[in-house]
Amino acid sequence: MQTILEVRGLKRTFYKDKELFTAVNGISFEVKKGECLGLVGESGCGKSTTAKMITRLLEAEEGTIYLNGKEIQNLKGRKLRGIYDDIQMVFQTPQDSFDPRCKLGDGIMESMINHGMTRVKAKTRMLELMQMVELDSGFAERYPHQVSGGQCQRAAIARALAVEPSLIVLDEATSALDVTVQAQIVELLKKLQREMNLSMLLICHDLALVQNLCDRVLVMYQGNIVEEGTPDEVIQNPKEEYTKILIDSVL
Amino acid sequence: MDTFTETTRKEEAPLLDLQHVEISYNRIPVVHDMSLKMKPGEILGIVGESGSGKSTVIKAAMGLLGKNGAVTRGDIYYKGFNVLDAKGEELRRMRGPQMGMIFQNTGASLCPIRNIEEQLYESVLQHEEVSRQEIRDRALDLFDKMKLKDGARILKSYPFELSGGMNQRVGIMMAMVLKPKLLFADEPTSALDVTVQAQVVREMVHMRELFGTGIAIVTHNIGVVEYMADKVAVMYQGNLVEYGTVKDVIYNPQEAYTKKLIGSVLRINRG
Repeated sequence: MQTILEVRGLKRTFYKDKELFTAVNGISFEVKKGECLGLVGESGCGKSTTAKMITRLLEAEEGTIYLNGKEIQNLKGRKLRGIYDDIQMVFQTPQDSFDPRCKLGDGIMESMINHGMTRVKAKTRMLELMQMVELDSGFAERYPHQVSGGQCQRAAIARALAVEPSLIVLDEATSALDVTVQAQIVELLKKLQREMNLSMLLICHDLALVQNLCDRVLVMYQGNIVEEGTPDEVIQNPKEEYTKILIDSVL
Repeated sequence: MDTFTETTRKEEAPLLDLQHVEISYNRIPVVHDMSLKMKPGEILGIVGESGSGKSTVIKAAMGLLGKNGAVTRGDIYYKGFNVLDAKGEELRRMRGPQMGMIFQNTGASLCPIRNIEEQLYESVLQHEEVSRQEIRDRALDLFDKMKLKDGARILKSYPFELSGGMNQRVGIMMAMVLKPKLLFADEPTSALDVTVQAQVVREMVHMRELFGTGIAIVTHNIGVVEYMADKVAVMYQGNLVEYGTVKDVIYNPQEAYTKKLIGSVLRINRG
């Protein structure tokens, strides 16, 4: 199977109270075509830092990132912008990731127009995407504050899909949503994965969600990957102490 | 006038009794005809989605609706005493020793420029005439019961120096130090990691075992309710759609919305 993302020895440190703190300590993993990889662990274990380094929103200090076989960690300017054709992100609070003064439809169209698509074409495509994420076309005319969290998250997923990326990184994308809405978003992601053979990196702390959606899971603890396997393997037969605590904490 | 101290003798009265309560914000009803009863020491879980009115109900019982909100119909009784009649001093005396509250983000509800210890003294001294040493001992004892080792350091800390989970424990300690009969908890674990959430939930159940405190917990986490509650109230668009024991409601839901809600909960398969 084709490898979409390959990460080797990724490392990042921060200063915390004037002391050096290693957020991500030389981790390596890969995401295959059409695979959904889960990344779980508690707050501060380095999950989001990893996501930010992969998407180049944060510089890695050491290590290499290959996206579709190309090294991306040293790209700059136009070439750096080019990687976002292949990799897109969905964040925890969708309302914050849309321009508050811009309608949702325009937010979704922006990336396509930046890629040289005409406004008319972009609009047609935007309406298709809205349909794909099961949003009524009327929502294109609304502002982020005029829709619910779940509707806004659907729009954020539509926006991520607009450029037809090979990988989307979902950072706690369902954590802020109500359970009923979360269930709908999970169904939507499953459908998209099936229909578009999308690769996903799902960052969350909800093991039940990971078991439901992911093909493989990595457990992170204090900047290191402590366990790896299929969700069933990891949940039913955890090897590391931390993984056991994490599983016992699911009420 | 009926004051709270006289009615505390009505031992047989329910701990909390909501009778056909309607709550409005700016004269628009947001909670309709809500009735429920809590026995002393009972844990009630109130579930539902954002905007369903869960938090509004406990705010009404605590008298925290603010200027724009009001109970427009029905009555709320605490041990047979109508809390809606309580005003000023009377309400102030009830909040704390009788009815305590824990918020979602205790760190934000504390003063950022004073340490935990000073704020603890201030809140306890509003209700009891005790020495600072005794308050300190009680606080450390509670931390001890929550199996937190360095209570003394926590007391000396400022809210921003503590993690979210630690701040929530401070919230539980500050509410429990007055030994309330009824504790309202508004999404007390929603902002926490699963591992920390599990600890906080266990500590709250432990507090009930130790002090017989009744707890009304608002949450959207069905797992938390299933673990700790005796009874559950399901709210949808301001209405109480289902109310009963955890066994009845969670394992055998009757209403369409409850079925959808329970069906949406992702379960972990431990094999």
